[in-house]
Amino acid sequence: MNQNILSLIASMETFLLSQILPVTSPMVKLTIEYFNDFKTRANLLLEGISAGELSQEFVLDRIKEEKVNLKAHVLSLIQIEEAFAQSVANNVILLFEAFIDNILKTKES
Amino acid sequence: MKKFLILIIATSLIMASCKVTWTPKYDPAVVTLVESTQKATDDLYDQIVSSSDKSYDSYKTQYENIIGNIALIKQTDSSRVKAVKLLNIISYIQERFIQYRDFHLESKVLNNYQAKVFKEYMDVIWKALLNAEKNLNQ
Repeated sequence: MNQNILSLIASMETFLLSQILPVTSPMVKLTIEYFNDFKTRANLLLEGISAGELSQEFVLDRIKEEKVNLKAHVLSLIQIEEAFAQSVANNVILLFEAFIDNILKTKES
Repeated sequence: MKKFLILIIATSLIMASCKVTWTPKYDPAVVTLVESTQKATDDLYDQIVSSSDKSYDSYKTQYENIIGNIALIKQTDSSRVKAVKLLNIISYIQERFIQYRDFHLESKVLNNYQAKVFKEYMDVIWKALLNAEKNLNQ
C-alpha cells in the first residue's frame, strides 16, 4: 500500500510536469501550489497508515477523490484562462483518471 | 459600393475591438462568503484535532452552518450567468462535505488523522473555487 502511494507521488510529479506545467502563468503558479498540496495530502495518508490510524478503505477512497480534486483544479484554470482549451483539459482529466484507475486496479489484483 | 465597404470595415473594426466575456462578473460578496466558509471548514477540523471531544454531536451545529453556507454559495452561482464551472466546483464541495459529515455521523468520532485528511481534501476544492472567483473580471 505504502509502495503504491509512493509510486503515485512519483508518477504524479512526472504527470503534472509533462501535462499541465507547460501552460502559461498564472496556471503554473497555481498548479505548482496544487502539486505541493497533493504531496501534503499523500504524506498525510502515509503517516496515517504508518500510525495505524487510517484504514486501507479510507485511504483508497481518498485516492479516488484525487480525480475530483484535479477536475476542480482544471475547471478553476479554465475559468481563469479560457485559452486553456477545453479539449486539452479534458485530455488531462482522462489521462489522470486512467492513471488513478490503474493504481487502484494494481492494488486489487 | 465604396460606402458599403467602409461600413463593412468599420463594423469589423468595432466587432474586433469588442471582447465578449463569457464569464460571470467578480462579486466581492461571493468571494467573502467562500473565504469565510472555507475558514469555517478549516476551523471545524482544527477543533476536532485539538479537542479531546471528537464526537459528532459536539460539532453538529458547525456542520449545519457550513452546509447552509455551501447551499447559499451554490444558489448564488445557480443564478449567475455563465457560471457552470463555478457551479460544478461548488457541487463537488457540497457532495464531499456532506459525505464527510455522514462519515463522522456514522462512525460517531473522528480520529486526528481522519480529521486532518478531511481538512486537506476539503481545502483543495475550496482553493479551486476561490481562485476561480478571485480571477473573474471586475
